[in-house]
Amino acid sequence: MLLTGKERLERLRDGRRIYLGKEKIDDVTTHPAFKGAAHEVAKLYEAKADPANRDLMSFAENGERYSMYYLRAKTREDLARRTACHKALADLTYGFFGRSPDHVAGMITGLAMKPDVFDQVGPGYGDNLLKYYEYARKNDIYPVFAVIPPTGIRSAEMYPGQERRDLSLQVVDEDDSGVYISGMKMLATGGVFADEIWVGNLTPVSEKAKKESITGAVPVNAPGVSLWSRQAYARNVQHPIDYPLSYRFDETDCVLVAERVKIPWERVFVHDNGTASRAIYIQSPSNCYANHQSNVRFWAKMGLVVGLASRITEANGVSHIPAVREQLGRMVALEATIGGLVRGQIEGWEEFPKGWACFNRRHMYATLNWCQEHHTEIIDVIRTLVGGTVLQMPASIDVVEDPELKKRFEDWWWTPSMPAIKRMKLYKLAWDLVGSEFAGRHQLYEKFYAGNSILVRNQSDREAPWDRFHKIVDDLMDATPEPGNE
Amino acid sequence: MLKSGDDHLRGLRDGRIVYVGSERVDDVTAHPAFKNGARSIAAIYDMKRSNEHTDAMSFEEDGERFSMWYLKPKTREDLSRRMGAHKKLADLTNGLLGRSPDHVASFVTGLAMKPDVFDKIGPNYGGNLLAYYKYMRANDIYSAYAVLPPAGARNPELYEKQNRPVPTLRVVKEDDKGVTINGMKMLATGAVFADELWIGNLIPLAPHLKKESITCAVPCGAPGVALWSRKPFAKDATSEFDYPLSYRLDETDSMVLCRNVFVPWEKVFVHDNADAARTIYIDTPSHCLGNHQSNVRFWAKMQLLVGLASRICQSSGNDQIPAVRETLGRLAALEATIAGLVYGQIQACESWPPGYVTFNRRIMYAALNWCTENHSHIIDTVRELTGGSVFQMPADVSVMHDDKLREEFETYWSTPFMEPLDRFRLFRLAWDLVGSEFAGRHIQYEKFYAGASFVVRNHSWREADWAEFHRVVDTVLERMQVPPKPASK
Repeated sequence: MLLTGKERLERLRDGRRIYLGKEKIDDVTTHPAFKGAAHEVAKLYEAKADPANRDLMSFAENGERYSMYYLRAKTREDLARRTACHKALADLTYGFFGRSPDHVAGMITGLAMKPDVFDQVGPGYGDNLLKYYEYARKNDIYPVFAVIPPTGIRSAEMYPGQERRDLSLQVVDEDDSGVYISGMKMLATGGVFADEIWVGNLTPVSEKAKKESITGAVPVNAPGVSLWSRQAYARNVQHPIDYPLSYRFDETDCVLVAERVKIPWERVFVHDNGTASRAIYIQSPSNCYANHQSNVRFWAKMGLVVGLASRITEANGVSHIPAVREQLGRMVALEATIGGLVRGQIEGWEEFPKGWACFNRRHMYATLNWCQEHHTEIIDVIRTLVGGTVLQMPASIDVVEDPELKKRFEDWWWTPSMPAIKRMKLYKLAWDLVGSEFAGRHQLYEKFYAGNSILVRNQSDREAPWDRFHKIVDDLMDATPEPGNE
Repeated sequence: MLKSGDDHLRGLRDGRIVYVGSERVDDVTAHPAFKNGARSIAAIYDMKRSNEHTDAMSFEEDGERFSMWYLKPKTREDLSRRMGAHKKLADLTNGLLGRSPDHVASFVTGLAMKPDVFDKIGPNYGGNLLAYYKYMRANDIYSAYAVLPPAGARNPELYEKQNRPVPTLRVVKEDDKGVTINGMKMLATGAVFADELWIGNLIPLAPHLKKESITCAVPCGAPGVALWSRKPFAKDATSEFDYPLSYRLDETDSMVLCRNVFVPWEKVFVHDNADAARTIYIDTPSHCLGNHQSNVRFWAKMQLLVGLASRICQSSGNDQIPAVRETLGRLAALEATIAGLVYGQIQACESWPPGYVTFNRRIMYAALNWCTENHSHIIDTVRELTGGSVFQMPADVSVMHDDKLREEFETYWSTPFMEPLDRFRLFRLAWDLVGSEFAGRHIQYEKFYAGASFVVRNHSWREADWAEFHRVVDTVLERMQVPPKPASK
């Protein structure tokens, strides 16, 4: 089934409990803090349901159509289809939705390609996962995840002996029909707009804390679930021109608080097994499929960044200066770098697991690392190109509502390279990318969405063929004769 | 005279015209977008005249007390006193006010140390400047400046060709009493809270742009002056808890629009002289005294950043991790670096101009360059230490007003290292330095307040003693003789 945009929005009116400060949000599709982004999410579903995008965004299996990101790839061609769909979705949101519907769906699809990873947990769990995968693709579910314990609590593990308060989400009770979970988990990015939350662990769980290993799927509106949103950046926007990105593309981040939330057994995938709760993502294509989407999304964002960089230099009248052209040349080289890294993952694909196709994992982790290392610097280049002009724009576009102010604005802010209102639009857009609170969130997000740099680099370390690299150096040394043995 | 905070606030109710978008602000001391910023400025004046700080913040001349930044330094000790006053002021505002009352005042003081630079413009201009300097210090004036033409509008011919008004501020009329100016100038940081505007040019003007060379002083409330503010960040700051810095330390940036503003001759310092309009700042200690304040302000900010970084690490217990301690050690080294650069300018002071001393100009420009180059990176380090925790905090502190939510918050957000409300407080402060719009403006500002990087580096290039550097390299080059051809065997 392919959901329409309208159906997408209807599903969000399901009694979910979302707090913005102390304010309980009744309907995220109409509340000023969320409605702009809710409609952007709906547009993704509109595009996907559009017959013109049929082959780009969906696939058929057993006579039914499913969203492309639920495709289990068997060939390189299948991988290329997944990539193209991610890219089309990311282009629609300019790469600002880190956890768009295709992210966690990719993670679940990857698990469904190797359900025997659940055998280590116990009988039945693999089937639960496969059934959930079927359910998710059949109902075109938008899943998000909450897979990290709250900060501060996590680090307590490093100091044995200190009193530990178990507020991390865990199983507190179980019976014939399922388990009951309580506690806090972060960071359900996009949870406000999603159908279900995948609860699990992307960081290691010690065997002592096995009740925290619970991995399961919970509807956002399940009794006992509440989402505590950070500040919503659309909240104070008076006019979309003033904050064109904050207004439409704040995907939101929420803390999940669960109070005796029931998960029926058929939605439980890992239980009482700390090791398996994290290993399942790495022993299957799960983590690779999900993070490939992150790579593609970053690529889409770079398209906006380089286009904006060039338009800014035109507006500032400096686009012909050699030093500026050099900087623009470097920026497009970076865009081509991420583009190349994405394509390379398809060309270097792996048959993993047996009978299935997976993006090249080392290239994918290398890309994740590249994005994490470069985003701050890329934004800083834009900031340098933008200069002080952003601060010269009036507080709001509403100046044009006053005929006298409008005339002064149009006369005095006009430049030979661009009329006043167009300049204002451009610089407000630039500000929302480099300076606004929305921009600030993106700068932090790009550093941490895949975990901190230690975690990201550990993935590359783990996947590296160290034997091969060691052999190169050892062979070289062996070929160098020792004195006396010439 | 040393003004009180109340005196200063009263002075701001002068009918000045300030626009926030289409909204005309009647009283900046009462408007939600500006009132807390205005109070932060008033607090500077109150601190300055309190008994405890009199000696550090002011000096006496001819039986009257003046703010320390009006001191024309004659000794190294005087430079130390100036620096000490800048630092106290910056500490009070955590280095987040770039154009605090001591910035432009220092520019004018530097000009008053060498008034003969105005002789090349014509008679009286030097006298005008000295009289203005005396007026400023006698009335404890807070001056802000607008010293750049609007971006993209540096070539008037392109406007004239299309028969459009040239937006850059210029003299449109003159008579016995003074000149009339018309046009736009940027970027008057702090002007909303200041008494007067200094209009001038900090970047070179083409020789034929004489009418734009006008350098003069205009009260912020003068008829025909309008300030168009960028979006003020205090406007949406729900409380001091939620946005502790946006709430009270947004110094504001405004475009200055003048429509037939009359300036009497005695407040005109440069006229019809494109070259002098800029060189006056460099041929005197003006630019150095003004930017020394920027160096000291950055130092105060670094102390806030280093303290915050360490507290963030403590809040998660990460401060015990060796790699984290290394990062904290590096940040502390950077704080000591800017401090060393500030002290070094005093130690290596220059006896210039005759009868006075000035901070070492090369070290001052080096510090300016260091700050511009390093700020983004320093903030990024703090951002890394902050991590995703900022997003785990509720949208605003209103959760504490709801008994049920408050209880949930206190239960779930607690950690072994810190009480939940203290963590909330800490991460709101962190966000206002690394992520909020206020933070975004600071990251932008620190790159550009002294001009683009090529402008800042040109200052260092100009002041460098190239002859000495060349001599050093030449002595080595001269030793490098082609060896005599070996005698053939």
